[in-house]
Amino acid sequence: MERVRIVFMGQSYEVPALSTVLQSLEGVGYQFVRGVGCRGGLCGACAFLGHLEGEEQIRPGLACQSIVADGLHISPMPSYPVIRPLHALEGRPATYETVRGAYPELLRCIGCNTCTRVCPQDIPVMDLLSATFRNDFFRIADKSFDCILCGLCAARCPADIAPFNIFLYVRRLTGRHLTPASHDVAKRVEGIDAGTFEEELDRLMSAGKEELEQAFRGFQAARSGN
Amino acid sequence: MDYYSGLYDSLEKVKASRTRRKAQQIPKLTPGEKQSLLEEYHPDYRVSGFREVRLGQNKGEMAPRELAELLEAPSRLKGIPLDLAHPHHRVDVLVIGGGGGGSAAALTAREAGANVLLATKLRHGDSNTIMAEGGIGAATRPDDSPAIHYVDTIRGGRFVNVPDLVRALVTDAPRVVEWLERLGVLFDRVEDASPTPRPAIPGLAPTPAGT
Repeated sequence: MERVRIVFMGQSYEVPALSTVLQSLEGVGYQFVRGVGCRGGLCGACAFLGHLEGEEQIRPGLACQSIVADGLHISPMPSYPVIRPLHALEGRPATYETVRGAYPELLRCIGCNTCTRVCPQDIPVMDLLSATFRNDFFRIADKSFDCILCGLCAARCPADIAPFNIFLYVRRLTGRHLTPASHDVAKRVEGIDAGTFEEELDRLMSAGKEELEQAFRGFQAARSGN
Repeated sequence: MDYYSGLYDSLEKVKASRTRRKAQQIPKLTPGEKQSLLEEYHPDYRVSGFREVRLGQNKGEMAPRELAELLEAPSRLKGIPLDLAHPHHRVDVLVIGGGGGGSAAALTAREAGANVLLATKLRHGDSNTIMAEGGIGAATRPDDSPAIHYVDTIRGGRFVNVPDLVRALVTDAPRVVEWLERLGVLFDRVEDASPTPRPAIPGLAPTPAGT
């Protein structure tokens, strides 16, 4: 098996070339309790900052998704110290002013675009920061939906902005104020409150297995008839 | 994100065999064959993966070996000086776990005026909830109903669910979706005049999806 050399906490290790950063470190005996979550690239807990010997650029990524490389130095980033103000929704309109009020550092952005380059989810981070100035909340909500809050954008920002938190607030504001509530959901809750389903549920609760199977087949037939 | 270079060779192999695999007929397994495959390979079925719990509340029950070892393990607090007369935190409600369930519990308790502490191993939200991408089981659409959700759930649970709990689940679920809407949670919606969460999981009650 092809092997490569990685460096972690000042120590060199030979690891399989095909392993992820996480697999390689666990393979040589490290056990992570906090800097690892889902192992599937979804939870964002295992962000790391890497550096390849001979390169100047920092190579960030998720430890569970990134394949090791020869000469890769690895610094895990289990958390990054940022302040998250209260994401108030009540009485706060979904506007740039609201976001700026919570995150005044937004104005310090120097447009370096490092946040975009480090994002493991390929989110156009800086572009979306500037979209807040244009009140383009739907675009931000849509394009930042895949954000896993790994914090790499904040870690590399020279202006101490935490874009992932800003986008989270924008998504909440968008959901609360710009997206109409579902009529169907409201109607269903009304129906439940009015006791519309009580009788049917009473009957099902006292039904045996055969009756429930029969009810299931009935529902299925009705569904495919729709 | 680029693939590791070795993966491109693998992709070529998949391409090369595609025609043959598409034409391939794979016979269906009989229930007996399924069962023996499961018993041989599946950790939930393999008898050798289980043993009896020797102590405590679950004494005498069969459990996966790892779980049995955990249940029988000595307390991690042994030997650590603990002054219970002077706790580090004093709260009305301690919530352990920061996923969907824990967060909802904490928010509900807070809304009711309690002083809440939420403890979670990773960061808030690094949880199974964010990994469950199929949707939320809630009968919210007009062609769906709490009764359908009830039957689907009981049947999916092989008829061993506690009926009272399932009833609470199916009648509370639409209310929870409404609550989440108020909290600004974004749902996938069908694109018509009336925005409704879309059906997501075939075989389950139609559900809203996404977060």
